[in-house]
Amino acid sequence: MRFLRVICFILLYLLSTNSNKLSAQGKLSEQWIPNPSDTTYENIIEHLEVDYQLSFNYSPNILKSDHVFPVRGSSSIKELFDLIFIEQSIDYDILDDTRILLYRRKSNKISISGVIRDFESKESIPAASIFIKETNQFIVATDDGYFYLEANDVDSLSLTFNSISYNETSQVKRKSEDKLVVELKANVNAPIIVITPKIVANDYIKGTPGPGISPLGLDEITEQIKNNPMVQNGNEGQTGFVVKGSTTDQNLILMDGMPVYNASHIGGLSSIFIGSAVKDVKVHTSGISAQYGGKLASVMDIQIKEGNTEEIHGRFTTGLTGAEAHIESPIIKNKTALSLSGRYSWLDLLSDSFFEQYEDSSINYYDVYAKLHHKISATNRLSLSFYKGNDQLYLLSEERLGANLITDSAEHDFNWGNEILSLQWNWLINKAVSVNSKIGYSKYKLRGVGEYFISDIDEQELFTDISASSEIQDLVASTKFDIYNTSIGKVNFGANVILHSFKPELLEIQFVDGVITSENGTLAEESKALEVNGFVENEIEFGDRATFRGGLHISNFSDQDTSFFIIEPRAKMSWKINKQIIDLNLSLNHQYIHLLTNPGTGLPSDLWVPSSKDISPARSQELSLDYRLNFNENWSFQGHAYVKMMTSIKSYKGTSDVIFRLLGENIELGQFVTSEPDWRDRVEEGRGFSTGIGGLIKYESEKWNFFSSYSYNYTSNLFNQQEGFFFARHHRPHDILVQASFMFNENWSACTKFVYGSGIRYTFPAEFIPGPPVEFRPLGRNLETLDAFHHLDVNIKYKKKYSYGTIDVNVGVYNLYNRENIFFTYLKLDNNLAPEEEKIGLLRLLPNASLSFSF
Amino acid sequence: MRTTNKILYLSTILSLVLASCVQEPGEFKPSLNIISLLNPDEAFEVIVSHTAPALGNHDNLEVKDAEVYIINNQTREEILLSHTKNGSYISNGVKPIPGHDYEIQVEAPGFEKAFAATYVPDLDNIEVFVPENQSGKEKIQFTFSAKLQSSNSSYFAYEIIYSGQEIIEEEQDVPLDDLSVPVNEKPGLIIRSLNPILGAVSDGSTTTISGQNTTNPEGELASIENVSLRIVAVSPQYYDYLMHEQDPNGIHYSSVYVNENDVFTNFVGAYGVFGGLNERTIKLVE
Repeated sequence: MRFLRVICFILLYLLSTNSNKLSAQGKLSEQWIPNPSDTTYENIIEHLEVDYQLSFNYSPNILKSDHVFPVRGSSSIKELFDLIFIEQSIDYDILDDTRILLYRRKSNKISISGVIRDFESKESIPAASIFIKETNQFIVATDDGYFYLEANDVDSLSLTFNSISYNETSQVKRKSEDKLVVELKANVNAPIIVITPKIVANDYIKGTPGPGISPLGLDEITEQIKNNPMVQNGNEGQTGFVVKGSTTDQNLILMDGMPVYNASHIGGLSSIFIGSAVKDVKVHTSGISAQYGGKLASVMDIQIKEGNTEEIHGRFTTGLTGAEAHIESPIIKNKTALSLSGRYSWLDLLSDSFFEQYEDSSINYYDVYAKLHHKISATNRLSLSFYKGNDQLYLLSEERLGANLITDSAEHDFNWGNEILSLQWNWLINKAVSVNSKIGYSKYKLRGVGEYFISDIDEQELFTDISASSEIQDLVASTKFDIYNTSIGKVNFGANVILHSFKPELLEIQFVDGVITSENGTLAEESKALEVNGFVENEIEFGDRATFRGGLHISNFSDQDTSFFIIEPRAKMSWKINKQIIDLNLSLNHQYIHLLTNPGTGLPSDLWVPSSKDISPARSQELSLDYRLNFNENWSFQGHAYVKMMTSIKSYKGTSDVIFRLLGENIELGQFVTSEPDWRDRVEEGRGFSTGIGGLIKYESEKWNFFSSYSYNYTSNLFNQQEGFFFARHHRPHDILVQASFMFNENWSACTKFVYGSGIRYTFPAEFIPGPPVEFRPLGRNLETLDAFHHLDVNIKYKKKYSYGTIDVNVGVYNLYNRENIFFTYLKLDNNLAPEEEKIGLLRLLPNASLSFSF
Repeated sequence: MRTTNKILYLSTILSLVLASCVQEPGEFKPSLNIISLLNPDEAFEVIVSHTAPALGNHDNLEVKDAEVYIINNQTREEILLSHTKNGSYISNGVKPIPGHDYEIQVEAPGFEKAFAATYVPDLDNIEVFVPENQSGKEKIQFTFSAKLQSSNSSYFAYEIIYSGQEIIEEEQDVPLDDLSVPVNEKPGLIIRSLNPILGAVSDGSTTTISGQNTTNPEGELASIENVSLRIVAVSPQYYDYLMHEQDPNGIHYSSVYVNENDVFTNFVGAYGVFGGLNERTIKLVE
């Protein structure tokens, strides 16, 4: 009996508690009729307590007092609880028929990985950015568009995906996900500095494929790069680009991981990069990552388009100076794509106006790109890319000189070009590790031949033949690992091996009446060198205010006689304060391969030569400061300052230059190649110093874009103590750029650009010595300054979209006020043997027009 | 200490920066240009002019108010030259002595003081050897040899002169393969070949020349009695000058690429040449 009483007591207790819960749960199914004021926790809970006899136990800080809920129609109390509690990550327990306990839900770790790609082309977007709202954290995807992120103790992740020249997109993820594919839509008017709740900016200059105002009017991908104040707007006739007091050979140019030795056509009129063939161009001018090495000044990293795996797209452009074509097509849908591009110039039509003093002239060039891309899976890809290009410049002059009726002819024939093959493998191994491997080759060949003839009154004939050639072949194998989400931040490491082969040749032969009278120079001898590089780098974030990236680049360069081992530390410290980013960069760089440049035209009558037991590697130490500020959504400012010391930089010794008598009209018949038969004996080493400061202010809106930049640079060299420091040839103190563009409507837009640069330095024979014999002698190296270089360009664009494609018409004028910008000058003796200064300019007023069709 | 280190570090950077500063050239400063060739057969003569900006006026560059001294190092005789006209300074009948070393000093207002040194080769000791039984024979090939002794290193040239033949004047056309024609104003000097002379053997202070006569300029075999040997010797300074300035047109054009040290001069403080020359003509058979 007693036992039964106990059992009944227990049953009654359980029944009472459960009935309380049943009662409370029954209340949850009751209808909730809200008052108009039931928009906040306070009001809702008060209503529930008063009208529904519920009481709540909770810690006050779990309910956000300022959270406003929409007033809904009647629903069940359970539905109300789902809205105000469950969805706000608040759980509840029913304690009894009236009491409800509220508590914050225990959260999980969420990790997301995947790839970010272009909505139209389906190409991965390198280094896109992802902002995580909950953690106020900023993630950068890899160069292949892969990303990985994770957060602890969160219920969801609000992610904002963005990249330069794309519209941002946002997604909310409540659980972990891998192989997420995010597509961004391109927006050419998007700001250069991505603005999220946190100011971020690329630590490189991005060259966006698209029309820029170039002298030839075709798409020129490098025009945007020159907008940066640390990149000089070079003279016409100058190959390559100058960054912070560097020479043009001190920029590392990579195309799908393979080095490019000459990225310019015909003295810098155009680059070798076709806009429609290139996916991405990044130029690092400061704070260069430890993964790059081998050059002193900057890195230009180009990726060729992979092709659209879903649809066929193409673009065809024809203009006054040449034509381009691009087509990309899936081979196996969503798996394999092929991208083909080509360009051919018909500058021959204009060469007479460029070189009117020549009887015959010819200029032309071409570029061919091809890339086959295969997706093994969403995170595993293979691609094979190929590039070949060639330039040809031919000039013939014939004349009779003075009263002696001496005839003279000079024939110049230059050919140069690159060839590149690259096999790449990109693989996201797991959520935190990606690997990028490449193997391939790069070839560069230059040959310049000058043939000079003179016959005197006795009809004796003197021929001088000069030839200079550079042949370089690199076999490259590289691999790079990116590791995310380590306890010490992001870690990169990798290595590459390059087998270099060089064949520099410099030869002069003189014939008199068919008999060789002198022969000087060095016939091409192949030399090989092996370069092995490794790097490791770590990027750590200190909250959301500071980031430190430190790394080491280690290299070894060896040939049959000698070996060099160099360690280069790199460090970058970034501070983010309100809407400002300040970077302090320290880097040590080296260079094993040097370009011996003639102080004259930018034509490739130069030699690429390797370091050896006689020629040590060049080195630089650089400290730079970068500053970026967003005033508001329209205005932004960038500032840069740097100091750089260089050692073991190379130059030809004085008269050891190869003088291609390209533009001279004199009867200079002296020995062109000196008595030093080996080019190694004609190289001198010295030191260099460079410093500068510059700024860029920018305004961007939907209709208007405007920017203006100014930089001051100072560069001096020292090759012997007796001579002392002298200005480097590319010491051009002032560089100004002003550009404005306006979009009238979706069809019409216009752009204008003004460029100003101080003249380059040169050596001029400024002193007349009466002799006999009469001589002209320079007073020092690079003491003279060419006239300042400036021009105004305008460009009008019309774009019309049809159902079958888009037509772009581009009309413009380069050098609107027809200024003759001098890029070369020399002393000339007129018919009376009186000296005069002859100045040579290349481009005067040059109209351009192009018609494009894309689909 | 920390402050001291900071100051030292900043000072080092600042000094490196300042040391790399380039000084822009100031106003053009002309230099003296002095030409003098000592010949025992002529009085001392020095031509003094000055340099000018390349694109300026090149008339009236003579220096007429210089003090020109030539010092004989053997005798210590100091000769003051007098200005005659157009920058030409000559001695009063005094001539250079073969085998003697000379210095020159030139001072002019507004110019740096200039110095140079040279010597005049000695051609007194020449022995000519002709094999026997050659005299009186016409149209027969013959040979000769000569020994030259001088106290200093010199550069020699020779040519064979036929009776009645004049010494070739400067204005006469020169074959293009003969780039040894000097471009000074002295007539009659042809350096056909310089040390080592074609067919010559040098044993230090003695130089031996040998040669063979074949035909005269008319293409005929000549009698040995009608043949003379003209020997020219120049000092090393003048030899360097001639080699540097091989330009058939008389103007050496230094292009934009020339090294500033590429101009020949053996003067300190000026451009120009101070050299010595001597010559003798000897009949092979007296």
